Amino acid sequence: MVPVTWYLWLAAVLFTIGLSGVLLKRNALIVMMSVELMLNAANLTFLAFARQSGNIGGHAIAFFVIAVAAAEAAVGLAVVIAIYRTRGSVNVDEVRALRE
Amino acid sequence: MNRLIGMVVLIGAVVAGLVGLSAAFYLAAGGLAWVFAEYLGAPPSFGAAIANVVTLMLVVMMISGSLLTVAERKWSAMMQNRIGANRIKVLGSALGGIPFLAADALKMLTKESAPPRGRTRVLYEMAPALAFAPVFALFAIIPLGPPIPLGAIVDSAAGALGSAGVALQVASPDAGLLYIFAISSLAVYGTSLAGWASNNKLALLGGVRASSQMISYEVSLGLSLVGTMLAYRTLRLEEMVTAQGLAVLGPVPALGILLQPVGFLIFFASAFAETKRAPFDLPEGESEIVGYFVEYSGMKFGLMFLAEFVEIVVLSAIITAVFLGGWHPIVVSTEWLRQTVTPLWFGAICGGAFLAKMIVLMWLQLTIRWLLPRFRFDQIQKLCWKILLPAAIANIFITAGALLLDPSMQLLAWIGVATIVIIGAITAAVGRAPAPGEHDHAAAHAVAGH
Amino acid sequence: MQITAELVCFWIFAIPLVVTALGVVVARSPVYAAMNLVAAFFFMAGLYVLLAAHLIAFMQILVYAGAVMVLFLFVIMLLSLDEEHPQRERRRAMQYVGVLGAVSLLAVLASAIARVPDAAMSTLAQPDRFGTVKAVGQVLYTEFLLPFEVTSLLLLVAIVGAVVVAKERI
Repeated sequence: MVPVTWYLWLAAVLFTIGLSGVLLKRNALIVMMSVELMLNAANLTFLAFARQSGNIGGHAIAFFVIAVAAAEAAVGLAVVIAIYRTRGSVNVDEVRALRE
Repeated sequence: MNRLIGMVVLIGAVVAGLVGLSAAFYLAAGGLAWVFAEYLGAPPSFGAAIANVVTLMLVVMMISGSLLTVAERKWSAMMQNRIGANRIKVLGSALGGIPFLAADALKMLTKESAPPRGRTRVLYEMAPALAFAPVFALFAIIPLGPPIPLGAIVDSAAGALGSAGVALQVASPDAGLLYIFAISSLAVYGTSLAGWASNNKLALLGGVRASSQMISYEVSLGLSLVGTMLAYRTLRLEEMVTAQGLAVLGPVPALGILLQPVGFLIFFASAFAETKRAPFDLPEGESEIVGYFVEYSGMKFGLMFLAEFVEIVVLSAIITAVFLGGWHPIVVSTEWLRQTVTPLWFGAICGGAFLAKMIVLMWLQLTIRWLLPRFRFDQIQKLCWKILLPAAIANIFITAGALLLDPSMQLLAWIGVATIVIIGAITAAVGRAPAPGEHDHAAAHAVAGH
Repeated sequence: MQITAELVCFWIFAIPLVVTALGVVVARSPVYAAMNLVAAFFFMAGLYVLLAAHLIAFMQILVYAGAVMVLFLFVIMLLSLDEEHPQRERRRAMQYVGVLGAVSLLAVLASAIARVPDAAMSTLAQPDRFGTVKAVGQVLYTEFLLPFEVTSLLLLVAIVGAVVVAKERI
């Protein structure tokens, strides 16, 4: 039996990788991919605890996370396309009209 | 009359051959299952699964896929009233074009690979495999034959081992149909990456067309099967096949096509679009953009080419299992057959029935491909989002309502019969009657063609 | 620790998962990042199967690998975003801070995980039923009915929003 902490460690590492992707990369698409990675890490935690406690509720939460991630990807990609159309770039540093 | 007798004999020989083939599959699966259980102590399903991978996925799928390449040439020639592939002769006879199989394989394997400059190297090499692998993996959950006790195949297996069931099915995951949706949705990577990695405008155009078409049709593909899931209350294919053997209207079994005629049509159309063959062949569009594989040569092209034909085989198998009663030989009652013949012959006949239905469906797909002209791109998207998708959603609602009112599926079967009648009537009414004199004209044209 | 098939499978999925996840962040071209992420989703699905979450594993491949990532790839191809634009120098300092932040988050997570009691996985009451379509469906339609319905509303809003945002004129 693989102990639950191993899955938690794995999820923590993945979450960190995803977070560093969000902070380091300037391409909006890769930033969104890193967010997906973080959502997946959270899912892994839910499923690991669901398996540990034998409670199926974690699976339902994972299901919702997947649905929300799909919605996020659809809207996010639409935003990326709109930004590309107006600015000709998807660099997140150049999208600062609200700040200046 | 002679011709008719010849046809009947030919069909009989083919069916007998298929029955013999599935008997051989059962023997292989049972034998390996017994060997694994006896000498390695593994559960019998292990050995059966390994034998089934070899026999079903390699023998049935690959051989019928490559035979289809020849069949398509011959059949298109017959439909276009010309003499088909007949230039390779063995001892003075063309043998129905079969030698072309060897010639094609030899050509593709020995051709020089001419990769384009500026390609994205890794993805370019990976794309043919990515196009082929998902299609290949789809066949794993097709139940080709019913489970029969191991003791009936191997005499020396006795006791609990002897009563363990051996079926012609590689794997049976709990999520059944979801596996089909999940894996078939991966096929788009091969095509779109092939287009992208080739560093060619036309290939990229083909790749973009392929991905947009396949994403769209996946939606209606998934929704079209929800009705059958509701009706049979399961996602496992083998349970669906078993449920289709039960009588619903008098002696008529609860076939998927009877309960879900609309679902069948939508699934067939969407799956046909997923195979990217005419009338949905815009990603390839041989006459304008050549397609996403324009920069591929040799066996890399061959793999993509073969993937298309293997897709036909898989699609036929899925439709057979979900809509046409799977391994139930519809002409005779399954229960009667089970009690009359030995278990091995029962399994063999059922497996032969499955293969025979698959062959009919493959023929149907070849016919459609050579009958219909290509759609325009806006027509493809309109067909998906404005016709198939609403129809699929309406189908789900009607099916669910009918099952809520009458869980015994009788109401659903009557609705299905009514739908079939209505669709038939509309087709007959819309189908254009030949204008006077057209027959003579067509006949004269055919003669002139000679 | 005894070596079991489950343990071997865990490492077979876990190591490539971390490698491909790193590949997403390291890859220079968005297409390679996307393909790495697809591979990562597959290994993740393998881990889900190890955790007896069969339905979620299939959903993972169906939704993430089959739909979301295809959409990403489609956008990359459509906008022909081949190479990432060279990054500006003045951002370098911020990047180091970013890495520092990520690593400190890992430290926080580590201290939290260290406090998790190392309880063994529970033995399931019905092992062949846990995580199947039926079991998850039952809990979705009873205990989580309201979130489930709200999710459908969310998806509807997302569809309409995506069309409104991406379309030039409606």
